[in-house]
Amino acid sequence: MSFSVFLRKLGKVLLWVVPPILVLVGAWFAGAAVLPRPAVGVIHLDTDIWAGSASFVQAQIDEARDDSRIKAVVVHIDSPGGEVVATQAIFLELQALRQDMPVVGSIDAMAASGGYYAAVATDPIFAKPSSDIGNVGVWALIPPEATITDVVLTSGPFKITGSNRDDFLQDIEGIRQEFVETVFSQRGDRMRISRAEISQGLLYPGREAATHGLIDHIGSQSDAVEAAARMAGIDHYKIIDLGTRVWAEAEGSSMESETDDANWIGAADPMTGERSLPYGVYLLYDVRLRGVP
Amino acid sequence: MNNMRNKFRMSTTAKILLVLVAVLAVASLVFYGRVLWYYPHHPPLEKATVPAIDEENIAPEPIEYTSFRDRPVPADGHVVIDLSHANNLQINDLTPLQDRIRARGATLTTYTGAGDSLEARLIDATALVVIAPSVAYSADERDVIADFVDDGGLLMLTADPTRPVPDDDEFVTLYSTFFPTSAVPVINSLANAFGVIYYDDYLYNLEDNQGNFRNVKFSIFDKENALTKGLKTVVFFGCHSLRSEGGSLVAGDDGTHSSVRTGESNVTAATVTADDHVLALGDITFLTPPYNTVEDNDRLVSNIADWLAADRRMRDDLEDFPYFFTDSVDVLLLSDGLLDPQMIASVADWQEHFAQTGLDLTLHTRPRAGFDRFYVGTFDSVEPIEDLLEDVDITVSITEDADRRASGDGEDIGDHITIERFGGIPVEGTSLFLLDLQDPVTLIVLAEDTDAAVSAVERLFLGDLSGCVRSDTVTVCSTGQGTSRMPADGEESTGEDTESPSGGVFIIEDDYRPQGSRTGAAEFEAILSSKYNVTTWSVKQQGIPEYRDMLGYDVYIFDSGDYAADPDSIDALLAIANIDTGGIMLIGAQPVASAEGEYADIGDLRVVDPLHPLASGFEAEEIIKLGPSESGVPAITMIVDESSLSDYSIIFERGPDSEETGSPAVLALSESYAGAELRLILATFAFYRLPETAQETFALNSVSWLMGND
Repeated sequence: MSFSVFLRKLGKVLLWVVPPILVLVGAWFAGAAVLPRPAVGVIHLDTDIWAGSASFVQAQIDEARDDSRIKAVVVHIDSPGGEVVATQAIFLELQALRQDMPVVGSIDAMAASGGYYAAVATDPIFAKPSSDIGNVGVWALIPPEATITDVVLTSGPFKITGSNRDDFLQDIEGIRQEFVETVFSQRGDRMRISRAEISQGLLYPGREAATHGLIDHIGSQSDAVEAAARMAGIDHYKIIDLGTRVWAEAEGSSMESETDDANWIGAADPMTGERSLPYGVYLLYDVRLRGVP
Repeated sequence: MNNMRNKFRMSTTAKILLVLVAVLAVASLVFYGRVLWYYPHHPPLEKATVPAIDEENIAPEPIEYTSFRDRPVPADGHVVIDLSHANNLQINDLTPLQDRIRARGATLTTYTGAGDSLEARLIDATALVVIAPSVAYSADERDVIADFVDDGGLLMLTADPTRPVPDDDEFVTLYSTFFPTSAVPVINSLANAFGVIYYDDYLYNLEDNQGNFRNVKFSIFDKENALTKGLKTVVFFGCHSLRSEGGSLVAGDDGTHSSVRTGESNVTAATVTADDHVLALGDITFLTPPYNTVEDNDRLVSNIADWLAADRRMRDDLEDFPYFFTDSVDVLLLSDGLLDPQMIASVADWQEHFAQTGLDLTLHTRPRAGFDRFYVGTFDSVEPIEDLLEDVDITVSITEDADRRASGDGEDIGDHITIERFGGIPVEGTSLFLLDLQDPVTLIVLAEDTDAAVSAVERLFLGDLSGCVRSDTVTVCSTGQGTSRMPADGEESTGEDTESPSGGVFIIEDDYRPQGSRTGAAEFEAILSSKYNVTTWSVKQQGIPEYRDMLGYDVYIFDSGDYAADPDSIDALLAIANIDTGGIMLIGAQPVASAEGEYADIGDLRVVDPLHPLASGFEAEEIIKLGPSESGVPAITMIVDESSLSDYSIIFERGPDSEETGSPAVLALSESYAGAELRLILATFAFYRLPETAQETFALNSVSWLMGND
């Protein structure tokens, strides 16, 4: 067989082998556009909770929704809690996200008070054996009692203060009940502690929290990611750190300044750890409080 | 063969279609492989259901306020609210309780610590209210209040966790708000004396509360106690738990817990002591508006007001003068001669004092039926009341000097009275009180003369019965003058003359100075107590003596030993300035502080005025060697300003082994002031350094001279 014949035969073979390979490769990559590699997103709630940190979590949730590759989310929580409404905003957003994809909680050092409130929006919840978990309850500085004067005229008795002591007490009690019922509704039959007991506001170590049903598993963040992926039915997934992405996108934008700890009036001093708090209602665990009551 | 080939030769179109099908098949295969690779469980697991919150369980209960119609029972107590211990409350906080107490006709006053002492304020009080103190009670205050309670006074103690020790910092922090300084040790400084312990905790109930865990409902009461009469449920808003030797007045149910005592139930929130004279409450807020109107709180406030307003004080003691009188009092002078201008002024003064306590005092010559009686007279004017004295087995008889001498008793010891229970007592320097509490209340005051009788009554007003001996209804007091022989408390006198201590010596041991080691108070006491009634007062242990502590003594010795003078310790010396009668001795290396003073070691004394009573027993020019000084503090060098001193003597001077030899070391000074002679000894060495024999001679000589003996 002459060399020219050999070349001709090789050409025919290649003509029949290469295109299919190219087709296969092309099909694989074309499939990536249609069916991209799935991912588990990691949302970070690693700070006190206030309007800024709630916005940051919201941005991460939006990112998870917008990225079609993200089929499940793990919420990494390390928070002592914070403001009531900001906490509830995070809870509701995470709860809504659960309609779209599995949302698994992974508690690091602490999910106290508002931090735990947010955690119960996730399911299941993982924590470390000695994570601080619980501190269910609310506290507030009682607003001052205002009276009527000849100098200021108001349209109603509580126009200045918004409430009196009794109403305020009811508000606080209502928030406590809301918190407790939220926990019990989300955790359901898994709770093995009474409403009265959990209302004491105790912090439980992770293992005891698991015993009481406040969390589901002792495990690492990898365990939480794996559980999220399993729930989403995916494998060979990527892990996307949504916090980093949002930070990168927000660099130089208003988000960066909004989520800066220092912008929260109640944020802990980075040097001393102490915080000053204005009048308000808090789902917050902190024994280093400072400020003018 | 070629036909076969032609038969199966595909058209170009067919080939293309075949390729396309093949490509699509491969692509599908790849895509499905991708699906299997990334989504092995495809389709995904069922979406999680998000449970809804049970809103029915979110319904905080509002606090319900109720009304209660108070039905006051008239009472005539006097309630004192103590505000002298930096109490953490506004007096307006107590308006409901104050109104209830006043509605019962009781008197209500506050004590801020200004002016009168607590003891003086409690003389006419029937109840003391202590609420949220933040300064601890001293041992003296505890004793005063314990005496008050023993005497039938009522004590209400109240503290709660919401009223800690106020933060003195200019900037109040959240931390100090959450973690304040507890006031429990403060309330316990008084409560413990009555067998009540406040725990540093708060009570809570997570299952059945009034809107919050700390607003605890209580329905377990001591049904036998009038304080809980008619109560079904009370609510305490931040409450300490208590423990008491008495009973539990208000206790929590199984759901009520202490924040510090895990597992304990039926915790006590209010208690009364076994004698029902001390009420301790763990909550204050329930007394304040509007929380006094929650559940049965207002009824409890009324019950407390009933309890406080009642006068259960026992007025059966001479110290309760004039409160043991019940209403109008006739003051009866036992002889017409007593009513001189001085007595008229005194009676007017007494009337004013009686009026201030709600009593009507009028001067009469004869007792009126139905009126209390207040007899004032002298020992030689007891004829009008002989029957009264006999009724209580007292016979007063005057033995004139001449009679005694005629009877062969020999020594002239002055006029005496004989009281059956005490035996013979010299008239001079003695006053006698007889109190009969049977209706009508009768008080008899007898003394040597009019002046002494007036002084005796004033002594009652001051509540000063120091130096008095009591036996049942009779009290005999020394006026600190003369040589009255006082039987010991409760002692039945044998009537025999024995050598007993006479006169009082008050030694102030100024042992609370920064530099120095000791005083000679112990030596003084050992030497003098055989002849005199000696009281030693340690400044270090007892503080600066007050005026009342120093009343009734003849001689005051201020001994600073070898302590160095310190401007801050001059307060102890100032205590002497309160004394306007009696002799004073200042002794010590540096008894006074002087900015310009010079100091030099002193090693011996030389007697320079052997004829002076102070030097009795010492030889002229005798050198008295002093022992070593424990502290080494040099003695102040005395410089006598002759232009300002008239009647003085230098008895001892510094000897040859001293620095500044020849400088005065002991100076005796006499001054006439307002008709009385004041005597002072100034000695600039530590008394303990004298040799033992010299100590005794010098101490006895000094006290004798200071008492007026030459």
